[in-house]
Amino acid sequence: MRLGFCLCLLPLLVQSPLGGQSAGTSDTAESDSGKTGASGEKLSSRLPELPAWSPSDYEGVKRGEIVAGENFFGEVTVDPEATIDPPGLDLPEDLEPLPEPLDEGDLVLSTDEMAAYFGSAIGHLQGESAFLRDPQDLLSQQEFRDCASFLNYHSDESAINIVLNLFDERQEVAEGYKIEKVVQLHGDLFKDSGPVVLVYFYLGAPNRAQLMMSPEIRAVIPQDEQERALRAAIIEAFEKTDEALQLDSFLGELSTRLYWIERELEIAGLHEEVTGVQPVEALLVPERSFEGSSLRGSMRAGLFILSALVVLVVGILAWRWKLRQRKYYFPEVDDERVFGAPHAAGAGAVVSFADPHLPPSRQRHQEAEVDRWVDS
Amino acid sequence: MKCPRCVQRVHSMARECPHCAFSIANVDRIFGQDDVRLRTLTDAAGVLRRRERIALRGRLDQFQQNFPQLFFGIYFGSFRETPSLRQFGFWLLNRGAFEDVEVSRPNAGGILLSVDVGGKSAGLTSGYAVAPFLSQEATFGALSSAHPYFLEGQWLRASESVLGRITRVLARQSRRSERDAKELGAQHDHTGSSEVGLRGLRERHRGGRTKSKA
Repeated sequence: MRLGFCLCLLPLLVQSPLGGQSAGTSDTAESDSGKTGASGEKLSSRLPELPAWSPSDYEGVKRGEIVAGENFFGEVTVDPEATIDPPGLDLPEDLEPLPEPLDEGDLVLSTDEMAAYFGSAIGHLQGESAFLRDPQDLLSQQEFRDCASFLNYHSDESAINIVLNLFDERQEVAEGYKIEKVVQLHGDLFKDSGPVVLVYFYLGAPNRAQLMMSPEIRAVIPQDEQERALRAAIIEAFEKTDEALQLDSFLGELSTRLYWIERELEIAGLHEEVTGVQPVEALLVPERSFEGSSLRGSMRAGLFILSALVVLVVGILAWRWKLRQRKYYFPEVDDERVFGAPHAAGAGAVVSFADPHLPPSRQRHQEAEVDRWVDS
Repeated sequence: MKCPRCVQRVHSMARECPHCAFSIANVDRIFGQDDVRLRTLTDAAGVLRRRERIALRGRLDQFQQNFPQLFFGIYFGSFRETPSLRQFGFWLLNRGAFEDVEVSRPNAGGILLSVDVGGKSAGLTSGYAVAPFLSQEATFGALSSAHPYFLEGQWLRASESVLGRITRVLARQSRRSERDAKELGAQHDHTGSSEVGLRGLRERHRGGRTKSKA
């Protein structure tokens, strides 16, 4: 029975690679190659040749010295030049086309585009907000409504309005529309709106933000304080990564800073003056006003302090004059005649100042003077 | 009230001191019994400059303006023959006829600062009308405040210091007496009985405290 089982396994062993090796005859190899045909030739052209077994190898297998598959990973059996095609993925088409990068020519806004920013006065803007100008639709509708709502809320709570112009982060403003020139040349846009802070905000680049306060504010608030307010708002904006949130943070901080600036205006006693209607000439600032604003502010503060000092001194003088004019009366006292004296009696007080080293209390004359008195 | 010579307490109606028999006759025998004509600022010792005299007269006029019933006199002298500055002040305020003081202001409303420049001592004497409002401690405090200036011979500043201190004390006393008079009048009007008003005044003098029934 055992002999029969070995005879059955023999043909299988001959067809296997091991069997091929054990056979070691060229007749078997030729018959195999003849069966594979043309496809086998094509495959053998790409793969390395199969190893050939010798009788000694067969003996080694039988003795256990050679283990089939031991060197399977030992040699390079794959064509190094063979390539694997990447699997094809079905990617969805782009839902929203990416914004096209600005051309160099688009970086500078034209005069017509700027007219959309400064075409009408505050409070009469064509659009949803009198304080937010975004003609290029840089904000979404929801973001625009939120921002405009905040600016309107600020306008209700504060005497200083914020007029915000939004630009793209790489946008350049024409020379004639620099923020200083706008406040100077387009002052009539703000003439009916009281004190105003004009802000250029470059969406996505808060560090490029600029602000310019109207002349009546600059006359009181020093330039460095205005710059501090801008820097604080920019720093606050950089706390956020989203462009719209940056704008929200910027406006929130600026609104807070303007509250303190408004307080300073009130303290300077100019609140009533600046909230009233100003002549156009007062808002139009000469070219040198930016340099002279701090000087004028100092002069006004000096005048305010001087007038306060004058009022204080006059008050003190009036109080002293009134004190000097005050009269003090005493109740009448019945005349007494002590020691037969018609007007005065009593010992009073006597202090010696002969010794500079003794205090007055030690030089007080309290003793009787009978022995010192020369009575004739 | 104390005797100018023995500094012992005497009765307010005593004609002479029961301790040393002092009376005005004693000092009249030394300084004279006739009235002496002088001004409220008398610099017999010649220690004040003209400018200082002018400034000091201004202060004295201001005092008279504030206190229509009173006047303040200053006498600078050198009393080598006079052993007692206290008795000299007593005598001068009784016998002095101050030329620049209105007749309506008797010497009883006078306060006299007498300074013995040679003997290095200063004294304050007050008339009958002022004495109840100017305690001995207050006058001593006024002299003490001027003590540094007296030591340095700064007579103007010393006089101004005494005058300023006395002015403040008298102003306070005047306001207090005015307030007390109003309260007394109000209590009198409210109760209609002078006896009750007097009781209230006495209670205030005791500090307004009521005795507890411990």
